Amino acid sequence: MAIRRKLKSDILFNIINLFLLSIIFIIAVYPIWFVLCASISDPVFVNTGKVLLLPKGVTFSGYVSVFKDPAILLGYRNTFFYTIIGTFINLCVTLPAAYALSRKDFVGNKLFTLIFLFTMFFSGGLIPTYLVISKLNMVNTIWVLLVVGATGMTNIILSRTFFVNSIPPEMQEAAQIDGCSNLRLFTNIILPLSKPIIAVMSLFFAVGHWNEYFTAMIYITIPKLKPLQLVLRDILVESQFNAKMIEQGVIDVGEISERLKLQELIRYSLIVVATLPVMCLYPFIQKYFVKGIMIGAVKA
Amino acid sequence: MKRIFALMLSAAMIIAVFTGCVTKEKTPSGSGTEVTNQSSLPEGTTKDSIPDYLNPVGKYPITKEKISVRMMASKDATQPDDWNELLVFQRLEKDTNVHIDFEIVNGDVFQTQMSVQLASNNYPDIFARGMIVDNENTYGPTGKFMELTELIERYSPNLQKLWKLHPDSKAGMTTPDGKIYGLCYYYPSIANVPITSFFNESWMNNVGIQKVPETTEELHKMLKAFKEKDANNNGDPNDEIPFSYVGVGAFRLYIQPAITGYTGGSDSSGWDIDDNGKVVYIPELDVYKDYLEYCNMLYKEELVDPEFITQDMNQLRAKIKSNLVGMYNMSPTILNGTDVEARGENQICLPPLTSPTNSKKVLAAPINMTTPNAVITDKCKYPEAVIRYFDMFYASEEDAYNNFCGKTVLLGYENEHWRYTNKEKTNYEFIAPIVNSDDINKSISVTMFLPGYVNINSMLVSNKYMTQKVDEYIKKQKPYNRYAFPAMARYTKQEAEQVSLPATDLDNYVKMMEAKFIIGEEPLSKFSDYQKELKTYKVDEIKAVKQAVYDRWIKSSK
Amino acid sequence: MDKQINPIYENPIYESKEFKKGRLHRGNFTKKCVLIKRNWQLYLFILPALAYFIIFCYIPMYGVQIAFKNYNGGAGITSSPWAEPIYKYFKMFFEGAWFTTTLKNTISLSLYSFAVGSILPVVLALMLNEADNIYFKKAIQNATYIPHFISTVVLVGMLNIMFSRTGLVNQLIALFGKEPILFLMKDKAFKHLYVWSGIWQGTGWGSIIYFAALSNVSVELYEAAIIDGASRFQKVIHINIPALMPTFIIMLILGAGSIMNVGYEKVLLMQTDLNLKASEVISTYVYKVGIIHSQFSLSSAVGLFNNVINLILLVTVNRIARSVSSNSLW
Repeated sequence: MAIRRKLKSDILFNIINLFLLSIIFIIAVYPIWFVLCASISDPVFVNTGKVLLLPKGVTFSGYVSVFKDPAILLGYRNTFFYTIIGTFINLCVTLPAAYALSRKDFVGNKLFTLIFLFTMFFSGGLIPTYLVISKLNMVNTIWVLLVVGATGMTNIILSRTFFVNSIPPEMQEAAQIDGCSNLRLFTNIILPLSKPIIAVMSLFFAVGHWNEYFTAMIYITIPKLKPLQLVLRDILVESQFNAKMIEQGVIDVGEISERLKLQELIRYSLIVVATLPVMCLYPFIQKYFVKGIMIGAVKA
Repeated sequence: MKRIFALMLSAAMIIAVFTGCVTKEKTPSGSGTEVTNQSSLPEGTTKDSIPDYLNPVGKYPITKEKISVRMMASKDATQPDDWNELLVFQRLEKDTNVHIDFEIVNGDVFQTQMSVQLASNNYPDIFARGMIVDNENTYGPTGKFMELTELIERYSPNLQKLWKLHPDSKAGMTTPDGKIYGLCYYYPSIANVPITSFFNESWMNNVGIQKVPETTEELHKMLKAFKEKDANNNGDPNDEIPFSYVGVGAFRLYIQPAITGYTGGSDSSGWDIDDNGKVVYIPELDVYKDYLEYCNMLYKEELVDPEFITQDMNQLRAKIKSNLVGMYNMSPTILNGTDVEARGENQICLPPLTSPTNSKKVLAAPINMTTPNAVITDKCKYPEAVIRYFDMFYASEEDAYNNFCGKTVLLGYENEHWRYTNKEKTNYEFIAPIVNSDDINKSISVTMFLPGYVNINSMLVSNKYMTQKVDEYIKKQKPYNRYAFPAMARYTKQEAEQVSLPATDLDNYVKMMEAKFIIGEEPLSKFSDYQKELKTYKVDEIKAVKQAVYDRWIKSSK
Repeated sequence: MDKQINPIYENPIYESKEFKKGRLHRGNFTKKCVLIKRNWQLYLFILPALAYFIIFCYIPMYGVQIAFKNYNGGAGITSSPWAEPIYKYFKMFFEGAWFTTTLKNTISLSLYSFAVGSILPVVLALMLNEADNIYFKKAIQNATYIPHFISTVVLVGMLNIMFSRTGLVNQLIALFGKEPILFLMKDKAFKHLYVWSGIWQGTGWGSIIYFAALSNVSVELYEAAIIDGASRFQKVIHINIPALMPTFIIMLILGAGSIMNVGYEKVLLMQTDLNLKASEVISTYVYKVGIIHSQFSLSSAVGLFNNVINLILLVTVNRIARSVSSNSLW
C-alpha cells in the first residue's frame, strides 16, 4: 500500500504546470477560433483585420456554397474510401515489417534496415517513378492512392522502437519455449499488447491519407477519383498560369472577381469542413493511451 | 488582239513566278538536325488529296463519321471538371462531328503533368491552355509536337486571314527555325486594358486639386493632399492611404517610365529596347537612382501604404472597397456593389507622367497575344480535323458558322447571351440571366486562353466602371503605348539554359535591393556599390543573349 | 529474480566481434542457418514492405542519371546525351550568385526548427501527463493537435493578417503603449515567424508519439518511487524521461537526416521582396528557375546534392547516438 505524501514542491509543480498548459491552450486555440469566426464572417472584414474575437458580418453563405458543390461531396466520399482502406493496407505492411526488424535473432536485420533507410535519401525523382507506375497501369486508378505511400521508413522505425522497448523479451521467449510459432506469437501476443502503437500508427496513416494531395495531383486526372484535398486545392490555390497573367496585366483582377469572390467566401468554411472529420478521430484514439495497460499482461 | 493576249499571258507568267517565290519563303528552311521525319501529313495522302474521313474546307460537319480525340487542358476554378458540360463544346460537337474527351487539371500542375505524360509515352492528342514557349523547343524537334505549317496552309483559312491582318501573330507563332508548333491566342480587344492606376475623382475635388497630375511633382502634391486632408469625406483626415498596391510593381508601372523614359515591359521585368534597337536593362542605368530617390521620398512621407510589400491582393481589394485608398493599380470594376459605386463616383486614370529627367510620355503596351495555346501531338490520328476544328475559333464575326466565331468563347452566342444595343454596333449588353463574362465561364464556355482570335470592338453598356475605364485608357494612355523587349521573342534551347539561372539570380537581387532602397533600409549613398555588385550578376552576358534573341525576332517579323 | 541468459535473445555470441563483423565462421554460419530456418515466417512479415521498396523506390532510381545528363523531355532518360562536362548542372548550381545564401538559409532555418521542434513535443507530453484533471487534459490535447490540420496556404494567410500593422499582435503591443512593429517587413523576423508558426502547427501532433510511450510506463515504477519519497518533479526526471529516451533519440537521428529538406511551399508563400536575403532557400530557388524554363537536369542535380548532405549527417548522428546510448537506427 502506498502512502501518499503531498510534498510542498508537488503543489508548486502542479500550479506551474497547469499555468503553462493554460497558456499553451490559449495560443493553440486562438487561431482555430479565428478560422471558425472567419468562416461565418464577411470576407471584407476578415481581410482588413477587423475580425478578432468574434465574427463580424455573420453570413453562412460560405458553408452553403461548399455543400452545394458536387465536386466537394465527391471528394469527401473518395477520401473516406482511400483513408479507411489505405490505412488498413498501411498497417498490414508496416507492423509486421517493424516487428521482424525488432527481433535480434532475425538474420539480415541490419541489412534490411539499411536497404530500407537508403530509400529515404535517394529517389529517382518524379519522372522515373511515374514511368514505373504507368507501366504497372496504376495511373488514374484507386490503387495508386492506396499503395503508393503504403509504408514509410519513419513509421517502420517508430513501430520498431516501440516493439523493442515496450514488449519484454521474457514474454516472447516464454511463448517460443512453449512451442508457439512466430505467426501465432505475433497475432495472439504481440498485437494485443501493441494497442498504443497501433492506435498511433492508424492515426498517422489515416491523417496522411486524409491530407494527401501531391500523389493525387500527379497521378489522378479523372474527376471521379479525386480526393478532397485536391478539390480544395483547385479552388483555393491561385493557378500559377493565371497568376503570371495577372502580373503581366493580361487579366485584370477586377474582371475575374467572381472567382476571387468565391475563393474569399469559402476559403475558411472549406478549411473547417475539410478538417472536421479528422479532428474528431483523435478522441477515439485517446483511450488507448491510458496508463498501465501493460501491467496485467506481465503479471499474467 | 494578239498583242493583248501576249501581254496577258506574260502578266500571268510573271504573277505565277512571283507567287512561287513568295510561297517558297513560307516553307521552312529546315536548319538544324531533326530526329524524326516531320511530315505533317499522315501517310496515305498525296499533296493534293485530302484524307477520306474529312470533309473539304468550308463544308460541315468536319468529318463524315463521328471521331473522338483526347485533350488535356488546364482549368480555372469556376469551370466544371468536364468541359463537355459547357454549351459551346456541346454545340460544336453537333456541328462538327468531333467529340473531345477532356482531361482537366489545375493550372499549376499542368506543366508537371504534361512532362510526366510525355516522358511515359502515354499522352493525349491535344494539349491546351497551359504550355509555355519553351515547351516547343523541347518537344517540337523530337516530333512529339506536330509541325503545323502545312496543316494550317491547307485547312485553316480563318487563321491565315488573321495572319494577313496582323502579321505579328504569325511571327509570334514561329520558332527561330521557321517552324510552327502551337496555335496562338490573339485578343486585341478594345477592353484589353493593362493594369492602370486609378483614383477617385471626388477625392481630387475634396482636397481642392483642379487638374489631373501630369508630372511627377504634381502627383506628389496630390498624394500629399490626400494624406493631409479628409479626402474620402468621412470626417477623419487621418485614415486615407494615398497610394497602395502589392509589391514594387506599384512604382514600376508609372513612376519608372516617368523618370527613366523606359517602361520595362508590361511584365515589369526591367528589360527594354532603346531607340537604336539595343537591349537596355533599366536597373543598371544611372537614371534609375533618380527613380529610387523619388520612391523613397514618397515612402518616407508616408504617401505609400506601409504594407505595400507584405500585403496580398485580398487585403488590397478590401481596402479599396472600403474607400480607404486614394490611388490604386487595379481595375475599378472591383468596386461593384460598394458604397463608392452607390455614390456614383468617377474613377479617373493617371496619364503618363513626365519628370525633370524625362520628357517622353511612355507607358507599357499591353500584350495581346499568347502562344502556344494548343499543340497537336504525334499520337493524334486526325490532325486535319483538329486544325479545322480550331480554325473555327479564329473566325471573325462575318465568317461565323452557326453563330460561332472567335468572340463567342468570351461573350456567348449573339442574341442568346448578348446583343448589340445600337446599329453602329459600338455597344453591347448581356442578356439576363447572364450578367458578365464570369457567368459565361461557368456553364457556357472557357472565356480565355483557348486558341483563337477574340476581337471585341464594342463596349459593354451596363457596367459603368468598365466603360469609364476603357474610355480613360483610350483617351489618356493608348497613344503613348510603347513596346519593350518583346514577350514573344524566342530563345533557343542553349540560350534558355544559359540564361535561366543567372536571370533568376539577377531578378531576385534587383527586386530585393529596390525594395530596400525604397523603404530606406539601404541608403541611396550606396547606389554605386549596388551598381558594382550588379556586374557580378552577369548582367552583360544576359544582355548579350537577349540582344541575339531580339535581333532574330526583328529579322523574322519583317 | 535470477536473470538467466536467454539462448535466443541474449546469447553472448551476438556481442562477439566476429559475429558483428559477419566473418564467416563455421559456427556462426550454421547458427545463422538455424535461425533463418526457425524464423522463416519473419521473412514473410517483411516481404510486403520489401516488395514495396524495391518496386517504388529502387527501380525508379535509375532516374538519378538525369542529374548528369542533358535531359531533353522529348527523348527518354537513357537516350539523352551525357552532360558536357558531366557535372555541368552541379557547376551551374554552385556558381550561382545565390548559392551560398540559399545554402546558409536552408541550414539555419532547418537547424532552428529542428532544435526547438524536437524538444518541445517532449516537454508538452511530459506536462500533459502530469495534469490530473482528465477533462482538462483531453481539452488541451485536442486543442494542440488541431493546428496540424490547417493547410499551409491558410496558415500563411492568417500570419499575414495577424502580424500586419493593424493586426492582433500590434494591437496587443499598442495596449502597452508601444509603436507598431512591422514584422513582415523585417528580414530578421522571417526565420522566427517561420519556425514558430511551424512549432505551433507541429508540437501537439509531435507529442502524440511521446504520449503513447508514456502510457506504457508501468505503474509499479511510480509506486516504488512514491515509497522512496520522490517528489513529482523527481518522478518526471527519473521515470518519464528515460521512458521517452529511445523514441526521442530515434526522432533526433531521423531529423538530422532531413536537415536539407526545407519545403518550398511555405517559404514561397511567406517570401516578400524585402526578406529574400533571409528567406531564399534551395527549394524555392530551384522552383523559380524551373518555372521559367523547365530545367529537369538542374533540379535533379540539386536534389541529389541535398540527399548526399542529408545522408552524411544521418550517418554521423547515428554513429554518435550509437556510442552514447544503446539506441540507434542501426
